Amino acid sequence: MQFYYLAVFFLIFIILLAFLLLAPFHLSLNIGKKGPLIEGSIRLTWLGLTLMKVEISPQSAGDLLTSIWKEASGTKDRTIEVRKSDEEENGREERSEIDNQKTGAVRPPSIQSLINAAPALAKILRDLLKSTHFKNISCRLCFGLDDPAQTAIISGYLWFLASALGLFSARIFIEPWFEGERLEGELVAEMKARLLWAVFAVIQVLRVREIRLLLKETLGWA
Amino acid sequence: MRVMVGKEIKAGDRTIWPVMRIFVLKTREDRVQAIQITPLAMLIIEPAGQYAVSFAGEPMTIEAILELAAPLKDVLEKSRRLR
Repeated sequence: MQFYYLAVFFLIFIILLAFLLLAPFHLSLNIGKKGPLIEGSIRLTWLGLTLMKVEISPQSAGDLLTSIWKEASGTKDRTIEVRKSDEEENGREERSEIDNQKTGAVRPPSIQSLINAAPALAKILRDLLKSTHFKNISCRLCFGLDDPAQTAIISGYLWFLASALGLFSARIFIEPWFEGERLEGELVAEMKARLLWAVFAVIQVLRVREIRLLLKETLGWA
Repeated sequence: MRVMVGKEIKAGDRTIWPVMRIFVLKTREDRVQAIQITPLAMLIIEPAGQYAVSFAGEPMTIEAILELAAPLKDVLEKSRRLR
């Protein structure tokens, strides 16, 4: 009788797990920037249930100035603090490295480990992109840097990326602005992804030694 | 196609203003197909004076570079005021 209950429990567990892995998640993005105002929304749904909803409401010019002023004063205060505690910091560096190893805090990995793990990282990125289906994507971007030559070069790179990612058929418009610094645009995207392929991709990539080493290094276990 | 003045380049007490031609090829749907940047000339401002250099290899006067890129007039005036 006990085995019967156990079997039923496992069956229910497997069904729930399969349901979780196979039911697609839907993500809708609608973000726009016009002048200094940013507005939009991000919504994540699963089986018709809204898991996350973020509304970015446009800030008034007054609010924006206040937030910029707060940010600037915060940075200033931090700079002063950093200068004051510069000497203390040097002494702490060695200790914090040891603490990181103890507590498992995240730290940047070495360049060599990143280079070794690059092919596997590219593979997981490709697998994740394959498991994501873009139902609708439209992007309009108008940007300008302080140098028209740099604007033209970056614009070329962005068009290349859009083409390489297979987004050329979608409604992508990247307009270079040569008259000065500028960033305006909007992004509307609807995509769905199943956890199953993402989990497969993660399991596959964790079997690669270089990725395990990179993770260990990042978590301070190496 | 348009002629633009690039970002100033500082080399000691010398300032170099590049002038370039930017050619953008677009489709009917307003998609960018190609971008070509061609350096044309540069205006060099030194404490002793200023002069223009053409990448075509021919001698170039200040008037000629100003005709090519009008925004350089402001740059020249500003540098004259500072001297």
